[in-house]
Amino acid sequence: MSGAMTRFTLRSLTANRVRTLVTVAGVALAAALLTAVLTTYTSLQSMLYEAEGHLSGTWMAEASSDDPAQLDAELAEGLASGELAEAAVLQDLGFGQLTEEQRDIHGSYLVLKGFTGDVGKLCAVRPSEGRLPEAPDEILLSGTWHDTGGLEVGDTITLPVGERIARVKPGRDAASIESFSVSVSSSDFSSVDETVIVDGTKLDSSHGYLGDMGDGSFEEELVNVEERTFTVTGFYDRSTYVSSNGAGMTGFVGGLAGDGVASAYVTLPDVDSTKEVEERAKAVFPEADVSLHLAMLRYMGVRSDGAVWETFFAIAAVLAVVIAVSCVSLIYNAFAISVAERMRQFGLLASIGASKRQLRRAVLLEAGGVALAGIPLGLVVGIAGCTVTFALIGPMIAQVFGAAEVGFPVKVAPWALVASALFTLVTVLVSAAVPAVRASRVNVVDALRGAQVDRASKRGAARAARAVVPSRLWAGRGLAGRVFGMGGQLARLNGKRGASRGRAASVSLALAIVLLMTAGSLSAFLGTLADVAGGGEAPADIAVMTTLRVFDGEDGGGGAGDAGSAGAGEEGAAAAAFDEPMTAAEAVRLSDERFIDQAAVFGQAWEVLCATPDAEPVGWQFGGYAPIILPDAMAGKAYRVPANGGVGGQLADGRFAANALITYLDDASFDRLAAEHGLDAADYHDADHPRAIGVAKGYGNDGTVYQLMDVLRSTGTVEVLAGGALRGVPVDGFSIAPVGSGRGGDENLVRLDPFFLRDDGREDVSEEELASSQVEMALEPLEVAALIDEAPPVAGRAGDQLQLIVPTSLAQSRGYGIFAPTFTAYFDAPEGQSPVVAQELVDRAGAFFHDETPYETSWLGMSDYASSATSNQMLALVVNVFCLLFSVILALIALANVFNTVTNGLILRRREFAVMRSTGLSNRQFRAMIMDECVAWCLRGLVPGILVSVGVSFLLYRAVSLSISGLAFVLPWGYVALAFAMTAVAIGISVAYGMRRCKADSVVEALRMDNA
Amino acid sequence: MDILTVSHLTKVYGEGTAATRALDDVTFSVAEGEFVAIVGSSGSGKSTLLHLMGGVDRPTSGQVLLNGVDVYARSDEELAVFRRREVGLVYQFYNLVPVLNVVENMTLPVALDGRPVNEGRLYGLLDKLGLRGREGHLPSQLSGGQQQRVAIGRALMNAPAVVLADEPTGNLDTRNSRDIMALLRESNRALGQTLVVITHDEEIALAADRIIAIEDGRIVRDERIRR
Repeated sequence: MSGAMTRFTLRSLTANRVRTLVTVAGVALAAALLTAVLTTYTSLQSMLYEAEGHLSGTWMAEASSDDPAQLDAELAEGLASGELAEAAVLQDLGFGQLTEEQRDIHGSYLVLKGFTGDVGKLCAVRPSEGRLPEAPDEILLSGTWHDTGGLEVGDTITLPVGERIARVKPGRDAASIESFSVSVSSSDFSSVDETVIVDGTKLDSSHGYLGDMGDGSFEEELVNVEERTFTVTGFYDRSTYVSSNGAGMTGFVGGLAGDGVASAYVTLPDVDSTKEVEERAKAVFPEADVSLHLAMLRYMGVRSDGAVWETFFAIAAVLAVVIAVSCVSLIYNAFAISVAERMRQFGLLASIGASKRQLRRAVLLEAGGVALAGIPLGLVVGIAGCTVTFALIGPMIAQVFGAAEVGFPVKVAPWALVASALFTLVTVLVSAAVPAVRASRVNVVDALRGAQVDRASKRGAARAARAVVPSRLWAGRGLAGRVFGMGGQLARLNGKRGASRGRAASVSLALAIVLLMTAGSLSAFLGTLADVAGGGEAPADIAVMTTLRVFDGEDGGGGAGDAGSAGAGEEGAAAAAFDEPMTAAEAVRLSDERFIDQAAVFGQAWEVLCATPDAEPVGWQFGGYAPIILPDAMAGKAYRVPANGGVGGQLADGRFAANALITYLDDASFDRLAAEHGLDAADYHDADHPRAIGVAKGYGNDGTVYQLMDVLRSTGTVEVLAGGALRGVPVDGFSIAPVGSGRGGDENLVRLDPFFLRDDGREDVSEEELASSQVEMALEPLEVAALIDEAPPVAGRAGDQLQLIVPTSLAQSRGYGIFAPTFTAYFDAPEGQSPVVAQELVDRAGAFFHDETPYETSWLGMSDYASSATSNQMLALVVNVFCLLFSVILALIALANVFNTVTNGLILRRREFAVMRSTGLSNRQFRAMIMDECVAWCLRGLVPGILVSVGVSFLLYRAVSLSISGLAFVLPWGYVALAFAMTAVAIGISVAYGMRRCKADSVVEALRMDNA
Repeated sequence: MDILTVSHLTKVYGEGTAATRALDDVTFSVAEGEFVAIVGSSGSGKSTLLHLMGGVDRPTSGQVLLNGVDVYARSDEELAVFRRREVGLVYQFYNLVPVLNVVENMTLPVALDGRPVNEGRLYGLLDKLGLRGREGHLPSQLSGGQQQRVAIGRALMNAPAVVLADEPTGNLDTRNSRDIMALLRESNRALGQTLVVITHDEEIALAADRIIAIEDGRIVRDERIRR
């Protein structure tokens, strides 16, 4: 019997070839999608692992000790016992003293480290040129020595080498700064060393350069200095954690020596968890500080707390559920129809002795057959799809993750294939279970009698019983009857009285809409995330930014610029003036003189930079923050909500105080801005009556969410707190300190606190004195003559703070006490040239400020917006490609489902159609009837489908809103249209195919199908 | 007067070696008001002949003239109109539309034609067919004999030129078979309805005015019954 049942099953599969093929295709797509999701996951994991290994080395644990001999002994024992798999050791050999010129490029020192073992693999120390050193007098240097220092392989380098000792600066009160801690932490390495440094502490390579740290009380001294000469064997071009730290770039020397701090980088065999790695490493190195390479362990899948993987798994799980739902729907429908169609056959089989179990198995076997054909196909398609996709966008993905050299090859994990296959198989069998049970419960008598399947519902029968009045027969035509004539009327009766007429079609349509729109929403919101992460519109391809050093008179280069005399002289005058008591106004005047001088220098710098080849000038600006006091009428919501105290708030006298960014926008750009807003630019260049354009809106936290808020409510005159003096001593600024909420807790009270920060030997003012004394304030009026919603990109962004824009012409007379203005110049560059042009601009700016002006740059930097925009676009592209692929495959599954249900719904009724046609239903009427039914399915499918989709979209929107705000809930209309179009096309194709099948067998044959 | 003329009608199913000649050069005429029985064994081609006469299939060659008009010279749309006005078909398996009740199934051809239902004719037929009180029943709520009566009612509703019945009693017990045949005979006598019935049952055939026997797609006998 079982052989007969198998044959029967295979027959029925081949008998309905199209449905079988579509079902197999659906199963294959589901398996392919699952395989693709899991393969992407395993490939990503593998890529990140490879990338981390490539970038930071494959070490799992690091053991550091200041007893190298002990560490070496423990290491040897660990390797001998098999507890450790591989090891490399790096040891501090001292610090090379650099010349001042070298320090600008390479950092404070040349950190010398000896090594043994495979540092290339374990620590990612690899020469990009030359080879690793093999002897104590050979050295591998950072590529900057080659690029900027002009060294070549084979050259020698000679420099004094010694030990770093911390020293308290002369004149500092050692007792009051007895200790401070230096924290060295890098984001992904767990070690956070807290070291207490006192006078005389010996510093190792984990300590940053003390001159840059803390309150500047410490300096360093190099002791036990001896001159050493090394032959350069090669250069490395990657700045990883072992090659760079606060003390400078590392030079790697062959072999270990002396008693400097040594670190062993090891891998362990057969580890299962991070905890195990830690415990076993500590057991091997009981005396050393052990830290773990958590990023590596995470990508190995060993780390237990890998949030990244939990997220990945969560996404994969959600996708799997979505895939399963569509798969179940597809397969359930296919088998439900197949079983309904063959009820008579099942009755026949039952009548000749097939047991319920055998009948059930026959259907499940059929499902198994479909799975057997579909799943292997799906696995192959999934892997092939990943291979093709990764080949196309893999390099971009790898670049996004900073692992361009590693690439993004497909990594197929056997477990992923097994999981995909099993999951799909289970889904198929579960889907076929209900139809299988239905087949086994066939009523033999009914089936054999050939009684027509009772296709009318109970309600349909009741309705039919009422429709007997001859004069009213076929009278109530309804809308359908009017539009589609008699065909429409038949369709309407069918819809009203049929048992489950078209419900499967409607459900599959609804599902298709939901799937397509979910994919659309996902894509839209992820796209928004990628866009937001990309950081909005850039003002230009390149920005060059600098702030000038104000107090380091002795560091100033030989100033030869024409503005030099004023600048250099002023510093001296200001310093001298501090000895004399002065009023707030006098302090502001001194500060403004310096500001005005710097502004002139910036103007010259812009002219110089504009001469850079290929750099197309866009605009420039400079400015800085100053506290302002504004009347109640002007203060926006941003200053009236609690928890926004750092930005501004209400003073005790009812007025408001806020930090404002005063931007001096170059006159050309400013005039353009004024013109764009219909303002008369001339009004703003009047030095006697300074006016500004205010930016009315800014992002802020209203206590619950981060959102765009009103900063300024109206135009009016604000007062800039340009300076102040306390007992004749000029203060350095005022901070806006939150006092707390006022009445009702919905107000935001603040206070203006003066502060001092310069280390110029002035007498300190105690907190009590600051609080109690009356500080003399210098307030300068500035009329905010117009408001705009958003600052132009070239004016920069003030973030959540108030921004006032004035033309650079105003900088000839007014500085508003701005302490150290930041200069920013924007340029465009030819496509692909931005990194080169940006470097050239920075070099020119550095040279100009150093050679032509009395100032040194406090910092000088650039932003290559063009390049980062490219990488953001890549990220967005990657996200979009994945969403698109996901959508396409889901759409195919959903559409296969629609095709199956619609087509089979029609084919199942072909005898009924034949009857109608033999009774005189014309082709036109037949088409009208089917059209009408399609419209009904669509309406019943689209409406719930859209409602559910909107719900799902909203949930996705909420999910994305958790990470960004200000995101508006919008339906992905493009996808809505696409969903409509695709389902319409699917129905069109299905109906066309179904009708062709119905017509293909002539009325005669259809009527003969008595025995189906 | 001949209402139906079949001339040189040939129907071939399939192509090449698989071709089956279901009808082979069949020629005969049916007079108005005549009751013709077509008999033949299974596969003799009698159902094919009926379908060709009813305009639901197209012949390979030859003509069917109804009221002097060539049936197959019509377009598909015209053929549909022809079926609903000129022909009434009755099948062995009733072939009712499952979601339509008794009166709706009966009046379907009228409705398809967009004409109003002739109430007198409907109630007359319901009375004759013994379906009074079952007007609102769906086919699934009726017995086989009742369903076949509905099918006959549908065939007669439009007063077609000819009623073609394909084994109308093939699926019924003896009593129901006799009732159905009596009904058909009655419609022939009382309404002058031209009737062509296909059957393999000689007893039923004997109720007709004329018996045409078909074997292997050819007419082998054509005789009138003398009463």
